[in-house]
Amino acid sequence: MLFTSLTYLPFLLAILILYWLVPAPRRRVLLLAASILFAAMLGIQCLACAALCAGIAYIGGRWIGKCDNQIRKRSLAICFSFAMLVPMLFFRMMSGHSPALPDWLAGLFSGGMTGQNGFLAPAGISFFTFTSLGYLLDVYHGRIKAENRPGVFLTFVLFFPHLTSGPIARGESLLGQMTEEKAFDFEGIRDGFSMILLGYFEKLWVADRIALYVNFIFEHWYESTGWQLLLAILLYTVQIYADFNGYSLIAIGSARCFGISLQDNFRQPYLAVSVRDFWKRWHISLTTWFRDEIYIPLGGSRKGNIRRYINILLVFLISGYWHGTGLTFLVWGGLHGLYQIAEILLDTENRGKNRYFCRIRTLVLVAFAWLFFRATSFQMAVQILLRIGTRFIGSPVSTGMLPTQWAAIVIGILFMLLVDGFHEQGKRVLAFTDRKPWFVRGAVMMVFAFLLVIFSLWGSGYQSNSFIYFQF
Amino acid sequence: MKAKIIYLVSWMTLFIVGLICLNGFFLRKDAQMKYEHFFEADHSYDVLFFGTSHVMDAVYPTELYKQYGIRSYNLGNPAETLEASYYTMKIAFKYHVPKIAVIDVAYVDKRQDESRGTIPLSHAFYDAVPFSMTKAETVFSLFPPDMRAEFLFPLVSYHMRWEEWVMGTDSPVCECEPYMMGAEMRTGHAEPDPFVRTDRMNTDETPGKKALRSMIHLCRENHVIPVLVGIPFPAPEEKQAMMNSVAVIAREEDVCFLNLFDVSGLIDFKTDCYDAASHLNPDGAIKVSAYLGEYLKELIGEQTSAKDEDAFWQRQMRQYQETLKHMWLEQLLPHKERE
Repeated sequence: MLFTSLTYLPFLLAILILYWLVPAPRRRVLLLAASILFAAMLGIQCLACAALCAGIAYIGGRWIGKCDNQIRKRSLAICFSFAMLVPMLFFRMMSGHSPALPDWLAGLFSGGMTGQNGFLAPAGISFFTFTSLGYLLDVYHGRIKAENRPGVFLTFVLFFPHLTSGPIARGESLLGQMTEEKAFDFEGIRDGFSMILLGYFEKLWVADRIALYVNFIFEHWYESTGWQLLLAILLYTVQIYADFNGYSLIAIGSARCFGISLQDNFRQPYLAVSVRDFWKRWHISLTTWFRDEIYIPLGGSRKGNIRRYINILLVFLISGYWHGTGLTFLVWGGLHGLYQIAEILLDTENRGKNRYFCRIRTLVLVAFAWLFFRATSFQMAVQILLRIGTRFIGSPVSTGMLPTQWAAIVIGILFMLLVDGFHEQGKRVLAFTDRKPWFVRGAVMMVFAFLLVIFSLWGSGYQSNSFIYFQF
Repeated sequence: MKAKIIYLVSWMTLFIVGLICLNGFFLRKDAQMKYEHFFEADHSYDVLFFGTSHVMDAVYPTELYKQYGIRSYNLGNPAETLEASYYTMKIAFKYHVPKIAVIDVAYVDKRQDESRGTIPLSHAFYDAVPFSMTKAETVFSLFPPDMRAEFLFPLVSYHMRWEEWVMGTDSPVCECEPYMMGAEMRTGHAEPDPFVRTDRMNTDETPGKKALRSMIHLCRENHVIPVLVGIPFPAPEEKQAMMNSVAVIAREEDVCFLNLFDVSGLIDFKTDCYDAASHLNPDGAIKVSAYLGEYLKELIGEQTSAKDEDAFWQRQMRQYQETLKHMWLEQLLPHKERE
């Protein structure tokens, strides 16, 4: 079940009503049952894989938690981490290939999966693997105690709002919340639904509409003009943000309705003044995961400049590989690593005085890297760059898209800018309704919800793009 | 706490009510117009027609009333399989139980599970059907999971119609006025596809034949006389063979099968076709209506109807004749002069 499927909101609403109706001690059991159902609806393979990962992490965590011998503890951590990574690495390696599987095996890998080209991986495998792995490493490093209640741990890994595309949960913040007895939280539900609405706006109004243009241009790049390709790259920059932030808002908002706080995943990333700043604002849950579990254990910036540069590059190459196996993802990761090394060497964060210039420079660098992320091959990305340099003719918008679609895209982007602008200043867009009577606040939300229903791309007239990060 | 819960429940209720209003606002009105007189309780019908666009274009209920006083409604739908017609019949009988049900067998060879591409055409009927458990059962039985919601709650597919309104590209799903009583008048001439009549029968069992038997049984359960009919069109030989084999079912089930392909001189494809592949224009439709009317009149026997019912039909007839005159006969004159 995708967040954009027609069944998600009724599902969420039904679980939510039950959640607040049942006695507090039974709520976690209800969440676990709902999460199992959600995973099963994505495909039984997804449920099996996530449960396997959780099982390994649970046993590993308990074992490591009981172990006093540091060498043994380390060996156990390595063994269990490897065991947990095997399914993800297997699917990563097979991604893009169409192996001749025996019928029974092909059957196992046929439904509820997502991936590129031939071979399909269970939905959200990278996310639940990293959630489980993060927990195991947290136990190993002594940041948290091993969870001894299997039901609680399974709920933590399978929790349906974050199962398929994060935010990658940390045991430190989420495990405790799973067992907390919560009082009915009206503000939490109201804020949660506001976030869900904003998430749907970004996904169905902005990202999916932009996708119509971007997909068309990237599929016909060889006959597109320089203007069109340039516009497609810029719009993809907006699309991937609207898509993933939209998803994250729906996930965080859904969790909020249950009184559970998930980590923020984005903080106005395109208002970043440097690429380093960008990574403090983009996919925060993954970035902090890499920082805590790879960059710092590798030595971080404590072992000299050369080692620091190598560590940065390594982390971003791994991040590229986490997103996909193709050379394009490695180039994307590598570019971000190199950008940051260059920023440190040139000390741009201290030299750049004009914030607007810094923001535009960062945006251009990030957009350039997104080209490699979006292109299906390295050669294609290079060809697109060559074409951009040589073919600046015609109008960029002449692709058969209706003027109404362009108008909706412009309105959508302007609204997103407004929201991000407010958030950057520590304000909320809806703050103006805070002192208004309850029915005014309700009416504002209602109008926004109906605008979404009418002007978003959803339903059978249109096949929604699945979330971009769903495949990772 | 109590006030907050009331607030949440009220908000949700208002939102759902709003969605229902939006659903009505965005719904295409043409399907409702087409079946306006069918879903009204204050009419009764002697004959109902079921099947595909072939019967929809070939039998004009108003013509049947004009010539024979038969009150009928045409429930033929574009590309409707017999499996779907079975459910159309089930829904129809909830509103009107006629004396006779005429079933067009043109799609006896088609399968519902292979008709995904033509399912959107079903909006021409289902948009007009009020919500009921029978409708829900039909939608769940006929359509794939990802297409069910749009038939139960059409806003799912119609909310984007604002774009058609802004761009001026809004077009109807069916071209039909209420006085046509479900039929569609398609005016025009076309050179037909080559046609070779065959008597061959293909007796292979198909889901369409199974559905046809179910329709016959449903008619019997409701004390309705089923009549099977093969509407003539330049059908390929394989299709004819399948339609011919309906005679076997008719014999087994002891029902009448009027295979109009075999009525010599009834239809001249050179003059009576609206489009190359199949459908009849008003010339062809009036001939088929007249032929069927003659047969149905005998089957129905003597009939009486209330005065206001007659007045209603007279109104429909006047509008029908007006349209026929303007849209067809006046066009036809220069066409015949050219010949």
